[in-house]
Amino acid sequence: MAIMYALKSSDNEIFEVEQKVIEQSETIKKMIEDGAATGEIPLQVSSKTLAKVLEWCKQRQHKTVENENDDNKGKRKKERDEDDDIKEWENKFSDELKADKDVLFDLLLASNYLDLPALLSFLCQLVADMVAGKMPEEIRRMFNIENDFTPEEEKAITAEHGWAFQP
Amino acid sequence: MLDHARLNPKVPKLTTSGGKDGTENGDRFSSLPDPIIHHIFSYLETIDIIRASAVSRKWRYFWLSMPYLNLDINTVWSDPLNKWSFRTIVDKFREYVNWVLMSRDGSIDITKFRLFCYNYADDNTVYRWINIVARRNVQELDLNIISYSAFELPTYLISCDSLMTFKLCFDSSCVLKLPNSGGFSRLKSLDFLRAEFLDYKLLQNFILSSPHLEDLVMEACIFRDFDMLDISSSSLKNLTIHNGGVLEDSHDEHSGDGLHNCELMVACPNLVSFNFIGPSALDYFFEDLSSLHNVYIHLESRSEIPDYEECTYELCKIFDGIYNTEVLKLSVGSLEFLDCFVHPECFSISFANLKSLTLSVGMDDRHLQSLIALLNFSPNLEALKIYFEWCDHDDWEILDKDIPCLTYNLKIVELFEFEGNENELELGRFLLKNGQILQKMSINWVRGHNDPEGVMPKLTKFPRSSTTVELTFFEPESDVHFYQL
Repeated sequence: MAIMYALKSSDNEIFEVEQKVIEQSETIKKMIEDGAATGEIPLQVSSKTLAKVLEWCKQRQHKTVENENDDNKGKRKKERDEDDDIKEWENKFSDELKADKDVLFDLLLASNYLDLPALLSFLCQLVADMVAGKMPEEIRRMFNIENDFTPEEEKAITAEHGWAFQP
Repeated sequence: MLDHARLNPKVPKLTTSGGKDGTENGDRFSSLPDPIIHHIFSYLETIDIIRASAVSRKWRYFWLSMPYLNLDINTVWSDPLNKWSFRTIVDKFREYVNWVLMSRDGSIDITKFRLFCYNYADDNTVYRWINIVARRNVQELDLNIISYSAFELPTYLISCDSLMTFKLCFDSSCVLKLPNSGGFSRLKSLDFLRAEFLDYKLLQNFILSSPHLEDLVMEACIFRDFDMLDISSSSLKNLTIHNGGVLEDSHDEHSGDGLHNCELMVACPNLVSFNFIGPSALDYFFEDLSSLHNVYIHLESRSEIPDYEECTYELCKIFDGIYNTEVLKLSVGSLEFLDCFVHPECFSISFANLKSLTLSVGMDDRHLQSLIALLNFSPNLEALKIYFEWCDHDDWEILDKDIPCLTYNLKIVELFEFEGNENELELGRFLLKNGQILQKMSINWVRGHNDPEGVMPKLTKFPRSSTTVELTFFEPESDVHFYQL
């Protein structure tokens, strides 16, 4: 029987999770090792975000698939489909996050707080790809950033490294 | 110029919008903690970050506090050769790097510096840049240089106390001048690609005098007129000498030399992993490799017409040196290396600690003999991987006999590039029949195999000594190469 842990979100929702899934989080792993995780483990993460985090962790956990030799054919096909599923799943995961940037940033902060290096790197790369090759105005629009330069400052920046804005 | 002091340099507070559901329209990006922003920006080229620095005051601050620089002449402009002459591009790039380095606040370290640029004989620019980053406490330096003259390792870099990782890649072979004495004071990881060394004593002394060096990679390097390549170090843990494969694409006529006329000496009491890929050295001297755990050897013959005696001698010397290892991965580019296995009396060797063996195997009889001999030499082997290479067929017939590792220890067998020919099946039969405590045999089909269903029953019907053995079949998504195993 797999050991289960109960995680409690900041809005008091309980998530029952297998130990090996949640141990990907260094933060929680440490809590477990320190014996601080006897009952529910309270986390400063909303239920919506935590659900997403666990979605990721389960997908990562889900890698080793083994076959019984008397059922080779069926299982082999299943396994191949599952590999495709993972890629498809990652693409879908990225697309959803790009479409809802609030979830993206919540997840970034949660992966940092829970110390999930693989998820953090995945998300940072995703955001970097969104920024790469873009002009300042495009970046502002994409992430809702206010241009708080005075016109003089803006002029100075263009003078200083306007060359960078030529493609 | 913009007055940097007037910009808001305050670090934003760590904010989490925990329970809120995504209805707010605030600027979430800019309020991320600095380390996350730096992590995101670390995936960008510096030119992208400069562009992004005009987004807002805070972004300008992010750029100015960014500890990584990534400057690459190939990617600053799109299609520059359409706009400017080559020389103009080089000049513009120099101006750009100068500007980037000058615009940095001197109090902010440049922990990672990656540079791809040209180096001319009459020009000290690259050395000046290295000097600046050395003074800014660089920890990781990654230089890709297309050099038109010999390159010198400057003393201010060698004595740099912050430098931990240094990678120096030349586009084509380039003479690297080493200091007359001393080595890196703190460096842990060193990687040379296509460097040409002129003096055996200097290189030996340089490695010996880098007291913290743990990882050393020398790829496609030329050891000009060396009698011996001597790698003696009490700190070194991982050593890779790679003079094969990549060389075939090189334009340099000398690059195929490897250690052709040169002996290799490795004396590293703390060495854990050793990779040697390429033409065999003239001779081998291994001293004090008691910590060795992991070995990968891909051996090519030194001469075009390989000589059986030479090959046997070289392979025996290598085996003598690495007998301690727990993990061995072996492939040979010339069958002559395997002749010796036909007469196993050449070997007095035993791999008493070997737990995992990975072999590249063709269909020649000598391959089979070498496999059986290696199994005999390795009484404690637990895992065996075999990668089948295409080559002319001999018909294998393996006599069933007791091999200690098969009787007592071998638990896992993995076969790669399996197509199901008679020889592969014979080997599968043999291992199933004699592997008394075998737990797992996995068959990885050659990619695009057209009839796995036809081959499978042939394997599954073989008698098995181990009642618990589990046969599994995998179809690779892409080509599998030996070096990936």
